[in-house]
Formats: sequence, structure tokens, C-alpha cells
Amino acid sequence: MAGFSVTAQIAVPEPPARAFERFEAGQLLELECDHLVVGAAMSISLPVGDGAQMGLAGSPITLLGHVAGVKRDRSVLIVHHQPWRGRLAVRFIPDGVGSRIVVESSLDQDGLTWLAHKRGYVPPEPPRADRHRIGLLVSKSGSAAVFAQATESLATLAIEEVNADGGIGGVLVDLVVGDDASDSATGAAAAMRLMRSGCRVVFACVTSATFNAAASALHGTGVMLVHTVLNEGGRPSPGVVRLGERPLAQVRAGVPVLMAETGCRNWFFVGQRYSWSYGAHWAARRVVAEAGGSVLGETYHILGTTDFTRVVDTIGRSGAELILSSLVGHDEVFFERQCSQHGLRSTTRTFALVLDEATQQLIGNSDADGVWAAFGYFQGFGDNTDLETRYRASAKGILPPLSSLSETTYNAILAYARAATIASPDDRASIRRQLLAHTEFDTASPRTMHRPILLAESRGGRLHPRAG
Amino acid sequence: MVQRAVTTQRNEELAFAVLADQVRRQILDTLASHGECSAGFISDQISTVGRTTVSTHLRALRLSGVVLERRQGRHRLYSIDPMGPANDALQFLRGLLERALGAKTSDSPMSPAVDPDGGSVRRRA
Repeated sequence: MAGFSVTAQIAVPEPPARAFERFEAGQLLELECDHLVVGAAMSISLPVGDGAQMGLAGSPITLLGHVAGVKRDRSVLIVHHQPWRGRLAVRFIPDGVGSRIVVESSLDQDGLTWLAHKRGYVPPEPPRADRHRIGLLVSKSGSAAVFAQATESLATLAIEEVNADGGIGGVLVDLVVGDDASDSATGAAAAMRLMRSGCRVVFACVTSATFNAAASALHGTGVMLVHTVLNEGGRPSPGVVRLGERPLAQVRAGVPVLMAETGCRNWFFVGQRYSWSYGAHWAARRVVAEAGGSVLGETYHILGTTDFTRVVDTIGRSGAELILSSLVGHDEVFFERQCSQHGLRSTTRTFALVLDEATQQLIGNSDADGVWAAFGYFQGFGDNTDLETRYRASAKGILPPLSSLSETTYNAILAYARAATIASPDDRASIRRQLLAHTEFDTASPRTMHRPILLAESRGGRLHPRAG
Repeated sequence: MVQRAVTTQRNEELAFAVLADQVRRQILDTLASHGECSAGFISDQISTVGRTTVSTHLRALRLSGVVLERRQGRHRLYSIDPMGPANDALQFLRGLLERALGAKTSDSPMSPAVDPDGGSVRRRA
């Protein structure tokens, strides 16, 4: 496949070692990396426009991936998975008393397509009569991109499995991916593009803000919209299916245990200003009250917040010993780092509802220590070794970790294919019934979508589920 | 007094830049969905700005190599240059990297082969 590369460079008056230090400290290319070693999760932010533009036109492009090579004071090689799969090589070359910093970005056709979309060129895929087309709506950029890195790969794996089994009703399946850029208006437009491309169903691994906007946009179009990841629920509708974990189940699993093990009762809730956090905090208040605790304070922040120092300070002064975070994506990364770096870990314990493996990796090994998480699936735990083996075999090099967010999407696509084959691909009501049936606790079904919630604690850079 | 005039002008520039982005997207969306279109047809699809403004944006898109113009009698017909979005995307990425490094950006539309600041854009097989 043809590849492309783009190079930029700058001359600086300082020697390569000093420039390397500045890069490591995040002063060049806004590198975020806990510890610059091979395998470490990282992000790099590229500002768009002059940084002062408002809204989506000015939102930076954040490359999410891992460090693939480090030669101290000389070069760093990064492999990134979002918003496109590519490589970024940063070289520090001595030039007289100063140095030249050369950045080379390599990308493939998919990457070029994503960039063209960013620039406004977003044609619909021409529909194909000989394919059963499925859409995937994910956050390839923006603050929510952190937790969905492996989702595209798992969706592709699911499609391959379905096609290996003969497709849906004998028709092969293909996948079209849409990007909401962590913004609900962009997500609604992307959902419309998926519809215009002939998708019969759209699997959404996005925030509830985008999901609700997409549901409005797709209302009456005949396209089914499936929320595969955790969500607070919502009004039932014939075109909408909500799967994933519910916050009530998560807090029921985690709150009483945390309170019993720490002997503490006072909580502080931190969330974002949209339906997910409102629903999650409502559920948490109920369970905290049932367990005899109290909520001393609660804050909501806009999606995309990076500075949580004020609320960290407020929590410290409130006397709360337990923190519930419903923050999503990069916001959660910043919050946990700031809690840890301001010393809150010595006086508080945190239960984070959207702390998955990818988010945890980006927080950094020690800053996430002691934080609790709760999902129906954690990588490396349970009977999913077959999927995990196939995932690792699907591509070379360092891959983004699996998490409940990508795994539930994979399961949802397989369940849809089964349902659409058993019923008929056009019988939306029957497909919807079958998908929802698996979310009730159904002992008769060999594969239930509704699984018990596992609690896990973050330690040494990994999430450790508790058995039993 | 001068300060306020500068600030107002800056805000207007920013507002224009955001609007320009929206108009640009709508023009590209129209061309992507309908193929070759006249300026009048494109303008009919966009309610937020008038015909003259749309023409200005079309000219900018043509100069940056994204859109092709063909004359048919008195009419001008516009379409997406098949190579345009790809070239535009690569130039855009180069500008992003330069900006991130703190280098002076080269925003002028140039073919990928030209490389005035020492940066480059190339295709590998």
C-alpha cells in the first residue's frame, strides 16, 4: 500500500541534549508521557490554527500511541494508533552550537483520509448492493479518544469472523467507520454520513452526549443505533439499543466494598456536564445513602477540561475520604494525575467509573496506583483468551490494550450478526428484541451480554481484578 | 483605543476563520454528494452566506488545489480535484508539525514537491 511521509524541521540555539530534555518535559509537541521508555503510552498534541480559534475548527489533533524507540539525546520513535495508524520520528541533530529538530510523520491511505475529513472533505462511501453494511462510530480524536483505541481493530476482527461464517443471511458484511472527534455535533454529522453510505446499523462507542445527538439525527431513518459501551440508560425507542454496563451496577459493586474496606463514609463526586455524569451520580447517591454514607460535595466540568487543581483543592479541604470520578477519557487522565501529584492519595481513595486499561496506561504507572475501576471485562482476566490471542496476532508491534469498551463493541457486532441471521436482516424489531434479551440476566442463554461487574485496583501500571 | 481596535479586528478574524471553515465544509460536502456543480447550485445549498461569499470561498479552494473549475459556455462548473484532498491533507499536516515545533508556517498553497523551509512531503511506494 502506498505510504506518505511529511517532514518539518526547526533550528534551535541549544544543543541536542537540552532540546531532548525540553521535548521530554512536554515543551515541544506537547508530549505527555509518564516515562520516556520503549512501550510507554503517550500522546502528542498538534495545535490547529493559531490555537485561539473556537470550537472544532481549532481543536488540536492528538496522536495517541506508544514509544517504540528511544536513543537518548538523539531520537525518539513513536507508533500511534489514533487518529490514524502511523509513526512519528523526532530527531535531534547537532548543528553548530545549536541543533536541528526534525519531525517526520508517516501515514497510510486511511490516515490521509482522516486528515482530508478533518479539512472538511467527507464524501459518503458509495453504497454497495452486495454488502450488508455496518457502521462504527468512535472517537478517533478529542478528549474521548483515549478509551477507544482498540475498538476499530476489534470491530474489524468481528466482521472477519462473521464473514468467515458466511456473513449475514449469506451476504458479506463490510464496515464503515465514522469519527465524532469527541463532539456531539460532529458525531451527529458522522452518523448521517454512515447512514448515507448505506449502513443498516451503527455501533457507537462514544459518550452519551454524542449518542443522544446521533439518535436524534437518525430518528426515522430506519438505521438502528446501538450504544455498545457503558451508559446511564435512556428512554426506550424502536431504533435504539443500549447495551454496556450501567452505573447503578458499577456503584453497587464498588461503593459498599470500598466503604467497608476503608471504614470511611464521606464521598466527593467529580463528573462532567452531560447526561452520563448526571445519571452516574444519581445512581451513586442512592447507593452511598443505602450504605450509610454521605456526599460532601459534587462538581461537574465541561468535556475537555485539563486543569482540575481547584477541585483537587476543594476535595482536600472538604474532608472527604472517598472520591467517585465519572470523568471520561483525557479529562480522567488529567484528574488522576493531579490528585496524585497534589498528595490526595495519602488521604483519599478513588473509585473511577470510566477507568479502563487504555486510560490507566496514559495516566502513568504510579499516579494511578490505588484507584479502583469496575467493568464487566478486564484484559487478561476470565475466559476471553481466545479473543486476546487473535487480537495480538492481528497486527505487529505494540498494540493499544483491550478494555471493556472495545470488547463490548466486538460482542455487540457478533450478537447483531447472529440476530440478523436468525430473524431477517430487515426485521429490526426482532433484532432489537434479541439484542436486548441478552442484557437481562438469562441463565438459559449460553452467552449472556449481562455479566457481573468485576472490581479492579490499579497497581504498578496494570488493572488487577479481584476474584469473587 | 488602538488596543480595542486591534482586539475587535482579531475577534472578527477569528469569527471569519470559523465561518470560513463551516462554509468550506458545506461547499466540499455539496461537491462530494453531487459531483460537478455550478456556483449557483452550490450557493443554493448554503443558506448562511450569500452568493458573492460562496464565490470567494470557491476561488480560495481552487487556488489551494482542492477544487477544479471548468468553463462551459457562460457557466463555471466546480468539482473536487481527485488529488486535491490528498495534497491538501498532506500540506495541512506539514503546517501542523511546523506550528507544533514553533517554526514559521508555510500556509501558501504549493505543490508537494516544493520545500522552502526545509520540510518536505513525499509519497513512498
